[in-house]
Amino acid sequence: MVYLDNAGTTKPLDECLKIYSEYQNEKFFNPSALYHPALELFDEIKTTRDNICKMLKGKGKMIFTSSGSESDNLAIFGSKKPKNSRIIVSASEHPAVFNAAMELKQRGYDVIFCPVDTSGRVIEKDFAEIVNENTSFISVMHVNNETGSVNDIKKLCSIAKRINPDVIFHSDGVQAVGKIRISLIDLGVDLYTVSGHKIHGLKGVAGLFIKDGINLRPIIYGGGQEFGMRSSTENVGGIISFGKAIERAVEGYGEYGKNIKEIRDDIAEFFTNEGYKVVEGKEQSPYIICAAMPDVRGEVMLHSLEKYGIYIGTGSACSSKKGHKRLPNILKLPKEYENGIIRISFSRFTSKNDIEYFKKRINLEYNHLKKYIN
Amino acid sequence: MERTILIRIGEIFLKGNNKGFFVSTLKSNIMHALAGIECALVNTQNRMYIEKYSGEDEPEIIERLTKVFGISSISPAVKVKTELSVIADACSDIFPESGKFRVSVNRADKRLPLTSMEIAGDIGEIMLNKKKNRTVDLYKYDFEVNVDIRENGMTYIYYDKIPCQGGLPVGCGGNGMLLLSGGIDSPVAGYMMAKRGLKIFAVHYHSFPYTSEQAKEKVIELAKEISAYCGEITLFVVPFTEIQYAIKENCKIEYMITVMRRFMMRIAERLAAENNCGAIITGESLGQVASQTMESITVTNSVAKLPVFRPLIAFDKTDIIEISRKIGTYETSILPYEDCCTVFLPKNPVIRPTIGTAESFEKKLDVDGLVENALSGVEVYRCKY
Repeated sequence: MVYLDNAGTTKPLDECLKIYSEYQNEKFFNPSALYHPALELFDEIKTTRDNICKMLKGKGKMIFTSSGSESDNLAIFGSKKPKNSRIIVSASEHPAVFNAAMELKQRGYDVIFCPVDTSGRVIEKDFAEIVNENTSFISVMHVNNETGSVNDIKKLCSIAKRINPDVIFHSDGVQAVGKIRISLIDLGVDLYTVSGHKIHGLKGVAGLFIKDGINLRPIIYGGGQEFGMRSSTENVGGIISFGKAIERAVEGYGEYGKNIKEIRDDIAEFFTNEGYKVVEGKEQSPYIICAAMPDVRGEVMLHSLEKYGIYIGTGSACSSKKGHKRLPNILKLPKEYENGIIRISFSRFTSKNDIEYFKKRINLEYNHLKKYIN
Repeated sequence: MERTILIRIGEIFLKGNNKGFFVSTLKSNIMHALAGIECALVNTQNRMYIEKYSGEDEPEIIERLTKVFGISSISPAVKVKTELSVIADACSDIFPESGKFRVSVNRADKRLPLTSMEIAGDIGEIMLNKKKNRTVDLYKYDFEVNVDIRENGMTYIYYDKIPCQGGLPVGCGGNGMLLLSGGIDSPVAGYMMAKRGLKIFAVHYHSFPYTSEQAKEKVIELAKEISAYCGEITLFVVPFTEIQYAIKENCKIEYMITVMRRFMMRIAERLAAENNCGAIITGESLGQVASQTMESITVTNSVAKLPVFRPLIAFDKTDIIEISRKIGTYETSILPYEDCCTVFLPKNPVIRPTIGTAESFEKKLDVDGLVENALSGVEVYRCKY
């Protein structure tokens, strides 16, 4: 199997699975219980929480949730927003943010979708013009999940705070953790979303970093876990293994990144030679490459490759089933490329052999499919 | 008092010497529909009853019976001995304590000395005496007390008459092979022919990699949804891409769909023969799209020897959608997965094709070989709700 859809999800590390199984089998206690083994779990969660903040260089706390989408929703619906105030999200956000913003629009907020360039990156000049003193909340993703382009969050955050120091700035960093260098204190964000299964952790666990001094209203009420901001019995095994996944991603960041960049450069060159259009951001994560083929539909290519055990994406896996048109509109591709978008995304385990096989196969399939174009 | 569900059979009632066959098919279909629920089916002259079930299962039994073809209506009822005082007490107990009512009696048991009207009067009187807030009004009543006195010494008392599907029991009209595309029309066509007594087999043409695994899953789901009415459906999924490639390479693009549909008919007919199907069923509606004009239908029909049933031929799309919503297939039908007909769709498909032209294109193709090859890759799914 050649798995090239790592922006969709990644294969969990054996270490993470082992930790999870240990906590499910032996340390299955409810951390809110009062006996000693349960209290130990409570402490372990606290340690993990603190370690993750340290690794991401953030001054604040990490709230554990069940998914990146939940973290985004908690940030958007949980932060203080005066009625009718302005909410800004980038036009290329993940549906978890985009659709939550649409809901705020329904509720009467002045929601503005900030223009992005053809790589999905926020246009800073436009952004500065949209932010005003009435802006209460901003969400701009760190790394675009479909194109891999990187937003300059530090710059955007400082522009926003200069105009309105009280604005809450959230960034979805699900595709950034372990893939690009992160210092939350340097970025200046108030809220930051991270997720386990995108970095070889397990599905069902994610987090929202909340900077010191920022208060949220919960969207789930109950027993008061996670500082009252996210009630639910803690997914202990998931959380501890998430901590391990972040540790592994952050410690190997430089070494993996160099290798992956070589792979991406190689594929970018190959795609360009084949006549595909490659999306390149001003700043780019090496882990994602988005390209568009002329005349052949991305989904048809996806299915053609799956016959050979090669798995790629055609856009955000969460939304690609719905056939949305947001991405083609952003990329402003010539008509014959519009339906041909594919997304190849790597992990630290992607090998050069995998890529050679992929290149050979996609070339053969493309030439075969091209024969039957109307 | 024992709870029971009274089943009224519709059209079968009028059958002559074959009635036994229709009734036994219906009985077997009812038992299949109620599989997994503990109950008994009792058959008397012109009526069937579901008895010996737990009260908790009653809503589920009703739900399932309303989908069995051949039943015209049902009524949840209570069964009591045919004794006036027992009947009247039961009526008084189960009906509301206040309001206007009427009593309607059907007396099949002619051994009773009183007439229907007299019995109704007596029951009404007892009901009035028991609760003072009840009044009788034969025309503007709040509830009707139905009393059905049968020949077996038992009386059934019921309130509601729940309309069912009508039609004929599935299977009594033979087998039909439905072309199931994944759109709105074909599941409705299958439902309608099953209603006239056909047992449904289905064939779907799959164009991987142009159509996805989800498109296939969608069709399986549709087959399962209509199986709530039709009973288990055997679905044949035929790989169609190679045929489409061959047509694309050899035929004028305007004839793509016409020739494709002729292949679909040929394959459907082969599968029909293997499964004792006496007809092919399609969801075509005259003039809906280019392939459903009279001329197109003539050209596709000409390769089939079996009769092709097109129950929707005179239906507007809005009418078809209405049925599709009613039978619960609409939401699945509109899931946005491509089906094989939208692959290689010509910009200007021929509206008035001729048999001669279609045949001239097919001369360039190894028609038998392509059909055999597709049949060798058939996947079979048994779809049951």
